[in-house]
Parts: sequence; C-alpha cells; structure tokens
Amino acid sequence: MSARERTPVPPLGDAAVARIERGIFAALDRDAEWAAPLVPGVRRRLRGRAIAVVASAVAAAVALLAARQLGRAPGLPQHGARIATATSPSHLTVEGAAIDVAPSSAITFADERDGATVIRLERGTVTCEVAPRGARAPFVVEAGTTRVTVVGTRFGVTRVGDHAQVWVAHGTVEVGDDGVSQLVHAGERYVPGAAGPAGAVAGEEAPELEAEPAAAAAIAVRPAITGAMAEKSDPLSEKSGPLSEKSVPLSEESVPLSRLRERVRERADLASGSVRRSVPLALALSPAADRRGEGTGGSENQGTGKLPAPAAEQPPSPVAALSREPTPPAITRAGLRARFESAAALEVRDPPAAARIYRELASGSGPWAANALFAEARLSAERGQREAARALLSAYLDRFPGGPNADDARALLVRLKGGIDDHGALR
Amino acid sequence: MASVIEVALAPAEEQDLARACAAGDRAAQVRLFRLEVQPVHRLLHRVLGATPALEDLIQESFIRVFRSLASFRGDAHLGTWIARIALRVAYEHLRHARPAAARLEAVPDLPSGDPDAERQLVAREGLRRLYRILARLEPKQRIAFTLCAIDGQSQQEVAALMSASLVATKARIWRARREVDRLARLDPLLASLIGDAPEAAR
Repeated sequence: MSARERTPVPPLGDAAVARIERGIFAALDRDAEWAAPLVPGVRRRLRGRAIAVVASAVAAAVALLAARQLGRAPGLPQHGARIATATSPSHLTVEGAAIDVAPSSAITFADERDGATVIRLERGTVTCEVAPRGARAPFVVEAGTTRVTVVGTRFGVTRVGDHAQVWVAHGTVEVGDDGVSQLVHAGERYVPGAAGPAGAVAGEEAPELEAEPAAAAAIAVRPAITGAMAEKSDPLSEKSGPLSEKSVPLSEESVPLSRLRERVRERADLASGSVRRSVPLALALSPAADRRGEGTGGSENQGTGKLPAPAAEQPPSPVAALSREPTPPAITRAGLRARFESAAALEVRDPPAAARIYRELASGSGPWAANALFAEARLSAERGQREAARALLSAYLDRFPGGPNADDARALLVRLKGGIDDHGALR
Repeated sequence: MASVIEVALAPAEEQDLARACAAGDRAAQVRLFRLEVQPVHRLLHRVLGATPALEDLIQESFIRVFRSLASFRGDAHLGTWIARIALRVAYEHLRHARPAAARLEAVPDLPSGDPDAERQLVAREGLRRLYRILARLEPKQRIAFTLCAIDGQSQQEVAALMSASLVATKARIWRARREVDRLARLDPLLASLIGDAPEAAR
C-alpha cells in the first residue's frame, strides 16, 4: 500500500456516535471540575489505579489550595476564554454564578491582579444569577467603558455604545466609567453622560428585569438572595456576609438556574412582606442612603440608633459629618490606595486634612473604606478626641465586624471606654 | 440523532470553540464532538483495526480532550491536537492490552476500480492478515507505521503527531516495515499481494 493513499474506513454509525456522546457527557457530568478519575471502562485498564487516585486527590487538594490563594475557585474559565453564541443560547456556571449567554452574544472571561472574576460583554445579552460573594474576590461585569462590581445583588446593564446604563433592583453595585466610580443603590439608575463624564445616578424605581427590552444589550445579574438578605450582602454591611451565606440554603454550584430564579422570587416576596431591612449606621447616615430611601421607601433605611446625635459635641463627630458632607465621587480602585497613603503621609503634618481624606474614603465601600475608617478612629484617639474616636470605632465594628482591624478596634474601644466593650468581645 | 456533517473550521473559530468548551459550554462541547468524532474514529480504526474497544477508545479520547482543552494554545490545528490525544489513548491501549486480530467482518470494503469480487475479497483478507501482523509490533512502531502506510501521513506529520523527532520516527517506521515485510513473506496471501512467494514455499 502506498503512502498518501488512505485506507477507507466506514463511518461510525449514528447509534454508535450517540452512544459515545452519552458516555462522554455522562462522564463529564460526574466530573464537573474535570478532575475526577477516568470513566470505568478505561479505569479498569489502567495500572496502578490506587496510586493514580491518591495522586489525583493530592493534585486536586493542591489545586484547590492554589485556587483559594488566588481568590478564585477551581473551574474558573481560563483568562481570555470567550463564549460566542449564534442562534442558540448557552449556559454555564462560574464562581457561584449561573450565566446564560443569549443568542447572538459574546462574552470574554478575564481575571485581574486582585483575583476578581471579570466578564466582558462584547455584544448581546448575558443573564447571571450571582450568589453573595462573601469573602471571595469580586465578580465584575464590564460593558464598554462601564464596569459593574457585583456583590451578590440584582441589577441590569444596558449597553449604550461604549457606555452602559445600570439599574439596581436590590443591594448596591459599584459602577465605574471613564475612570470615575460611584455606588448605585437599590432603586437607582446610572445614566452615562447625564452629568459629567461619569454619568449621574437617578433615584428612580428600577424596572423589573423581564420588562427590559430584549433587543437591548442587557446584562441582568440576579442574586441568590434578595430583599432583606440582599441588604446584608451590601458591601457597606460586611458583618452580614457570613450570616447571609449561612442563611441561604443554596448549593451555589449545583442549583439550576430555574430553581435559583424561583428562590429569588420567594426571597423577594418575603422581603417585601414581613422582613425589615436593617441598614448599618454609616450607610443610614450617608447621603447615598438618603437617596436610596427616596427610591425604595425611606422608612426602611433607618439607622440603628446606636450612636447619639453628635451635633452638640466638640469636636464635631466625624460620623455625623458623614451625613452632612456630600459624598464625592469615588476614586478608581487604583487611586484609593494612593489616596489612603496620601492621608497617612499627612497625619503628622496636617492631621485634620488626613482625617478629611480618611472620612472621604470611609464613606465609600470596600477594603479601603474599612482601612480609612479605622485609621480615622485611631488618628482621633491619638489627637485626644476620645468621643469621636469611640464613635468611629463603633461605626467600624458595625460596618466591618470581621474587618482586618476589628480586633484592634475592639481593644482600642475598650481602652477608650475604660474597659467596657459594647460589642462584648473583650468582656 | 442527525448524521454528523464534517465542516472545517477557520482558526479563529477553532479558538472560540476551544475556549467555549474549556469554559464548560455544553453546546460547544457537543459541537466539537460531532465535528471531530469521525476523524478520530478513522484515525483509531486505521491504527488499531476493527477492535471491539474502538468505541471505548473514542470516548476516552474525547473525555481527555475536554479535560485538557484549557491547555490548548492554538499552536496546531484543533484537529491535530485532538489526533495527538487519540494516538496517546491508542498507544496506552496497545501497551496495556494486546488487541486481538481484526475481525473479518469488521474489515471494510476496499474501493476498487476492478469489479472483480474475488479480488476484493482477497484484499479484505489481506488487510485482516496485515492487522494480525501489526498486532505483533511494538506499539510505537505500529502507530508510526500505520499512520504512514495506512493513514497516508508523511513522516514529518507522523513525527509531529507522535511528538517524536523525525529521526526516531523514521527508525520506527523502518523497523516496523522490515518486520511487516518479514512476516508478510511468511504468509502466502500477503506474499502474493506484495509480489513475492513465501519463504516456506521457496
């Protein structure tokens, strides 16, 4: 037989193809993380099976540890992975988020230095069910220049050229556009270019997801929890992170999308009925919270009342000042660190200026807000402003009970109060 | 199930498809499977003959493909990359379970311009005996030889598919050819096909 001349082979029959296809996908279903041993027919033939299983288990454990170190779960699509649909939709589960990619859509996965999972919407529509992030790295959706940070909430994004409109039904999202970011709360809508380059936040009622025009390129991110539970996943209310996770009987990786949607509706019904929303103190005092109250019913956004009104105190309480000063537009994440460091550098030379910067950062959300709030409290204590320091420390512990400086805050509070701790940790 | 239609993909489409599969997109995985199942079947059939394990091996090949797609960089065509995985599966199969000789009923009809049925029958029997000889070869030699002599690949292509150097590939093919030739001359039918009388008959 001469080379280049291929022996003809009868094609595999449809029945055989179907049999093989079933076998493959049954194996992949059993092996959701693609790390389980091989299918039984092949496993039988492998030598040293026991060694292979042990090796696989060790490798999986190492991979899990490595993935946790990187702040991302195993099974996360590779950086740059792209999903493009033609006439039929596609469904996948990533990092606790069930993602539906609509027909004629394209998304790309990327991850960033801080481990955030980023979905870039190139065109079309993607619908996500995002479980509360808890301690995990943020989940981000980008559409053009608009960047939406998901913390376990429900919102939609409509692509408008290089920008996007964002509306929020529950919880809070951070929207960045043209280098400026701002928080958008429940009932608010972010409109690009409406007021300056970063757009404006309007306190209008968020439309129902289903009411959005299908033709628009929309991202809809729904939480596994809503209503009162969604409030607890608010970044300004980190103390509720573990609680909300514990309270949601969901297996984030395995619950089908339809079931998640049902649970979302159930939770929403519960929330709209008897469950009272609790809002942390700093959030209740902030102008952003006021705006949110206008949009969703102000009676829900009352403060906890743990702090006395500081207006008559000297020096004026920085916590009270939060409610009077307008929240400046937040800086981009890269800029937050620089801003914090500039405040730290000013502490000796110009403590009031440093405190102002800390206060500005603390009015935002995320780790730099926590750092700034504690730094301001510490600075106040160092300047002899005991009342202000105590108020700030209490606010810190309300907002970030598991924060990086929570133990320090409790210890400092005990010292400032002469051994009494409202939070009970050191009694 | 509808019949599978093989359609060649552009490189960019291949990349998109591979990424979607790696991301766990089931529709993309089904598409890739249906695109590549027949080429993989043909390849394994040519290397191994009509073995009853063929379906298991195709299945195993694709399971490995889907588990490994995240590492596909696009340096080669997706089909070539899949063929490498299938050949590795075939190699492990040959190493761990020496296959029985190809069954007569599983040897395909050969295309022939000659309508002579008897000649076609002889060709089929010859192919069956050839696979019986191939079963006696060392697995790497067998794969290299079958890829070259039966699947029609060039020696360079065989080297690339087997991730081996050209020199090693040539040596494997040469040794396999020599052994096949020696054994074929002992078989009257094969000897007549290659134009020599069997040594025993001399």
